[in-house]
Amino acid sequence: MSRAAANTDKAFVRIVNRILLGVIVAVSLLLLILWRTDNPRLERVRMSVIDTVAPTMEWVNGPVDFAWNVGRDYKSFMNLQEQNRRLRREIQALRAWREEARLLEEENAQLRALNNVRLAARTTFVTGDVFADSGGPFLQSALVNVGRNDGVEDGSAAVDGSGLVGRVVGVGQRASRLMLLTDFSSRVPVIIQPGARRAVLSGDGTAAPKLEFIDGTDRIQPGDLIETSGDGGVFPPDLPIGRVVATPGGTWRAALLADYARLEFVRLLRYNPDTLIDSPGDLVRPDAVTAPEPEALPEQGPVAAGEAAN
Amino acid sequence: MELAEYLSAARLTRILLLLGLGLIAIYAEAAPLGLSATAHPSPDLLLCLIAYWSLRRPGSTPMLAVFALGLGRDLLTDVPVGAGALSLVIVAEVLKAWRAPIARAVFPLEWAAVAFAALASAGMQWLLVVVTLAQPPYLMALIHQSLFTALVYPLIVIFLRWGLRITWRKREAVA
Repeated sequence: MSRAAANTDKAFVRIVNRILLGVIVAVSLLLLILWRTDNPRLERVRMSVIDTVAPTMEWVNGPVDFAWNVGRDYKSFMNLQEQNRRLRREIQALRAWREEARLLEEENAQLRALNNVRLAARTTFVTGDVFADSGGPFLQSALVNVGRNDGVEDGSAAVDGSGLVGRVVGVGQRASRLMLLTDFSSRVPVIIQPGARRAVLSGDGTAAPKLEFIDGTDRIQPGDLIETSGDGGVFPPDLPIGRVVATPGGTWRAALLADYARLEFVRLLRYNPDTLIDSPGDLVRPDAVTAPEPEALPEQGPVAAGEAAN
Repeated sequence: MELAEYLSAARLTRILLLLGLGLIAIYAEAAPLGLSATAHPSPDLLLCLIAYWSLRRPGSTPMLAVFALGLGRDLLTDVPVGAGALSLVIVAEVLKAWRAPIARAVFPLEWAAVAFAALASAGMQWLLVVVTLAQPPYLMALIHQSLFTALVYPLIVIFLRWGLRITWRKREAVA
């Protein structure tokens, strides 16, 4: 009797498991479709989950980060002498530049004062700690511990001390999600200096993103500077991104200035583009050409004129 | 498994332990250890944990708990949402079905089975991404990650076997 009961239990559990597996497969496929169509609700769910776990995540990741940094610092310690020599050389070179920069800054300020220049509003920023990354090969992204409460907006540019890192693609109250320039979906309008040639920087999962749709490849040289063009109004213009490198296949790529291997903090920029002049002023009315001649207008009485004025 | 055991407090405790360890595994995977595109991908610690648990304690590895952990990982670490969770559930169910022959065999065979499961899981996720016409990652990167996962599995076994004393119940597994 008890064996029969046990068999009934087993059969019941098996049936429940099969139904559950079917439901899980259906829900997973539905979620995958929502992910693929960039469903905003799914993104909101993702950001609320990240918001919820962000504080504990930082707490748990602390020891892991510490262990990783100890290992990295040990490697760095091994070639300390060489680093020390190189840094001394750099400091000597930078001292000369510092003096030069101070003089130029003074001169610049005097010239601005003479010309009564009105400067555009400065781009402000908030700095955050990178507390998680995607960890896998599917997406190149990172989580930062600043969010909407700190003034971060969707699309904000993320930079480190050297150059552009990526942009914000999801904002929670306390955390934000960054898409790095190396991600497959990353596309940034850029300008290549000198010569101000426009191009699009496309991430392809490698450390050096591709330069596509270049406006005249014949005058590009390896080592040219790549900056944001500001087209589209997402990124501020003139943010440094990297240097042009030529590949054996004939394509141009960017050696990024940002040090992704040591990315611990990023600045998220709050950028308000200048007012766009995208419509004619009130003085030049678009219907001025087609407007009827004044004498052809019907005569209006005082009431009608009053209504028109109102 | 009988219904009484299905609802027992000991089983519930083991499930809660699995959820706690799974969360730690997800956090460790997400730790930012170099964001460069050429950095080593993090090993799939969650898969290692689920594989070990499915083989040793299949009754305490419910599908819903595995799915919840997989979904949490997908949301936190930017794996295509649903693909990672589904592949994890399927890996757990397949390993439960293979439990008896693996329990009879030596550890290297179990290791090979988990390595194969890691590779199959990565392949399934890649295929799901391709089917949705999204840009899939490089296959070499996925193979690299699966290899890394396989290398880490013995460490997870040592931690769970000698640290938490979760061992085989071979008589139950072989029966």
